[in-house]
Amino acid sequence: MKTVSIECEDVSLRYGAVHALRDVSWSAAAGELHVLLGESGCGKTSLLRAVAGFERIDSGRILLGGDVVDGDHREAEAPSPVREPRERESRRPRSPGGWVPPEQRRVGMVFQDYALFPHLSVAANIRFGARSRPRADALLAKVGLADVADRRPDSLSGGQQQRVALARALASDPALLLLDEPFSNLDPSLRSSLRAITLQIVKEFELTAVLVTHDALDAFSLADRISVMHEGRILQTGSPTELYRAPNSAWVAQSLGVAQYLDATPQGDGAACAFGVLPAIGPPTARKVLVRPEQLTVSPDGVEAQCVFRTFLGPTVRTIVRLADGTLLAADLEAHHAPSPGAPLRLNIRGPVAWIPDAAPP
Amino acid sequence: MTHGVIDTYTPEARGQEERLQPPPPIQRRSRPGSGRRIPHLLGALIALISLLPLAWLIVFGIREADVAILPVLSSASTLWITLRSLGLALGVAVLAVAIALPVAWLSHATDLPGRRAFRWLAVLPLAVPSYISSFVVVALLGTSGPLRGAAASLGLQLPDVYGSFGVVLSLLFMFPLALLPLQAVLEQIDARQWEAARGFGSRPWAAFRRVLWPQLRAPAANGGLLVALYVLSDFGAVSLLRYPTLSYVIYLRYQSPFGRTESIGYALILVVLVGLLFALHRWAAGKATPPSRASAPRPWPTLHLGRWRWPSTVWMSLVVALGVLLPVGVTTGWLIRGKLLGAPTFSIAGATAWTFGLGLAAALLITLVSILPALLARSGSARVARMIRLASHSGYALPGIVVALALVFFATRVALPLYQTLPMLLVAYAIRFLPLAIQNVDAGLERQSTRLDDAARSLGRKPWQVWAQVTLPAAGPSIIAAAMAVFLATIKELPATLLLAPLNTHTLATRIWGWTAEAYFAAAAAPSLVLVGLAFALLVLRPDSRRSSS
Repeated sequence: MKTVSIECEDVSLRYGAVHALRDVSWSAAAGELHVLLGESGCGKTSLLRAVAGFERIDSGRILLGGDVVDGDHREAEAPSPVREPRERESRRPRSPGGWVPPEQRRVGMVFQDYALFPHLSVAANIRFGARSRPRADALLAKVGLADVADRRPDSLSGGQQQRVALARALASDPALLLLDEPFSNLDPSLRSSLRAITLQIVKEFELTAVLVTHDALDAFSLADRISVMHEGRILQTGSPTELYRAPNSAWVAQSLGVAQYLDATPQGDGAACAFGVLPAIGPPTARKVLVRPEQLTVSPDGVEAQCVFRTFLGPTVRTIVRLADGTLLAADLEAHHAPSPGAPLRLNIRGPVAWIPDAAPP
Repeated sequence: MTHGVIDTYTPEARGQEERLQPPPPIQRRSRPGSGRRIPHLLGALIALISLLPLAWLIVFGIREADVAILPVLSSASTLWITLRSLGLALGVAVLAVAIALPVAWLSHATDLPGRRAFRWLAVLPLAVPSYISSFVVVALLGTSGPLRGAAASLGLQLPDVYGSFGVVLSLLFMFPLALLPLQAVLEQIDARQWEAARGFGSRPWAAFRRVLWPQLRAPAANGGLLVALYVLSDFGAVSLLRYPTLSYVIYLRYQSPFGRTESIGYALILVVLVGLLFALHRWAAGKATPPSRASAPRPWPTLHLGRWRWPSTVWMSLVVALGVLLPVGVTTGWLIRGKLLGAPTFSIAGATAWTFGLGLAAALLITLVSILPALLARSGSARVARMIRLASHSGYALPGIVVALALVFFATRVALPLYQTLPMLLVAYAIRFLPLAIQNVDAGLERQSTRLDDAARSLGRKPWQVWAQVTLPAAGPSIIAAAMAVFLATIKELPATLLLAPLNTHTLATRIWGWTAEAYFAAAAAPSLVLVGLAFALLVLRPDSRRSSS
């Protein structure tokens, strides 16, 4: 079956007094692997569940492949340029006609706890929603579980259960695959190999896939695009490198890695700071620029600094340095460059820095 | 007598399981559904039926207070009857906890030989209904009992079994009620606490006193309360041993040609006492819940008993022998003795058939009904589900004799065609045992992740198909456990069967009771053996509802 795009327009969802989603407008293009990244309670799972049809949204609408599956149909034909005030929307009765139940959405879902049917064997789990038995058996073989086909799910390891869940979701020939924290219950050593397997399978099926995670590494290694969520809102959407290098907010910056800031003033297209004038990304709306630890390098013509503390990380040494003005920075230096505590060193910044409008002081 | 109800009903154990699970995210089930009206009405009807005995007692008591309540309150003997009931409950509770504590501890944390087997063997006496344990006590220690003779030849004068001595002995068979909460908590206590205490330099006894006892106090108290509740509600032992506590006096009044309505007054006093104890029990059960934990508790190291090894083994063996082997032995003995003496034999085929028939009917009906609250809770009507569960608790808390009495008065005054009919008897069973079934079914369904439903929906199933293909099958073990628990409770049930069964309908329970009351021990032996054997088998075979679907 042809895969579909997802569009969410001003979607809001409440659980009683808790606003899980606040006017979320977000979309995933057909065939892309989109990662929703955020801390727990940020609304990422709610968004996934709304797309799957397990939750009904309070306002806005959701379209799969251009068809409204939740929200008002009438607006689909004639979208009004000016949106009505919220009060009217929240009082609007939910029309069952505007809601497509989950069993008709052709959505494959992999749950965080896998939700395998405990009373059915592995093979029967995968066959449960399968269009045909050969398809189910082929998937069973593809995820490498043919030899445990007759076992009960609870006798499998976490990694095996995750693969059963993936095969079960794909066996139903979905138009769209949703994965809710699929790796969070796994051993770190298993995660990377399962990420690779999952990525390979998803790409092979050429499906639109949305993966929810709180782990930046999951996001970087899998995503075509990432959307960072916080408190029921999407803060920024973009490719992994885009988001890492040019986050639009301090929250996005620290969601994806160590975020530290330097005082700077705009000068031409660049930013003037303790390290001279550096190329800078984004509008200079505030006086702070983001510097990632690996951007700092040892350089004979660099700025003077003093090593305060260091932690050996293997390939690199995280070195805390103090600049002449007292600013503390973390620098990931190659092991043979790393000075001992107290020793002086000279540092430069590699690559562009990013203006962060709401950056906290370093 | 509530054997079978209290004995397997352990809300505190359920509390633990719930706490062990990560808290589920807030679920809002707002799927369109207009088909909820019928389940709602059904739920309301079930709740009403559950509340009927209590409501009728109160209404009737108030309406006819001058013949039902005032004579009871103005009688001096009422106070003594009440105090006797409370004293018996307290005494048996204290003794039961005193037996249960060492049993729980020894079989949990020491190198006692066969401790794993002892852990569940010690629970088996629960299967022995109090009219059978009374039969055993009377047959052994009664006027012609072999033990009394043996004691007399040693110059020992045993107290009369028809009185507190015999009643306490008979009711002590229920000591596992005090054991179960202790076992549940011990299983949750992490061995690392003990190791830490020992590591900080406490000797074993000090470590027990300072680290474990504070955690065992609440479950011990809770277990004692369960025993006290059981004793207050018991009918079998006090009636056979003619010990006039409230529940026996209720029966006596009901049977007497004069002042029959006074039984209502005594019933109301009993209801108040049971209500107070029940509230206390719920409170203690909350306290007894061990703290939640993320990881599985570390298995206990085996403490070396050293020279206490053999005394401990003897103690444990004695408890199990008295609780399990003695009933089987005594009934078998009387069976043989009856045959040898050529005592008149009575057929128990009819009673056995009725027992099975009623047990199966009740198990089927009540289990079916018990699925409703879970169904409602999962499909978004949590409030209605809670209402049914709450209402059904009153049936669980009420002593069987009170439920039976209320239904008898209700039937004779309001619904005479129903009096002593099978539907009425089944309703009585339903009122008494619905909570038992609900507890078992809920244990399976509440722990079943609602993600399973979501998964099935997204795999193309409609809501009703999800129920038929996933929700119920996945909860299969707990549903079977519910049916077995109800079956066991029903075949052992005495007071409601005695008062409400159709004329000339006898079950094993009523036969044993009747024949023991008339001292036909040889006749009572055969049905006792069948019933005890069946009860033991069911208790052993019962699937662990806690282990079903997760």
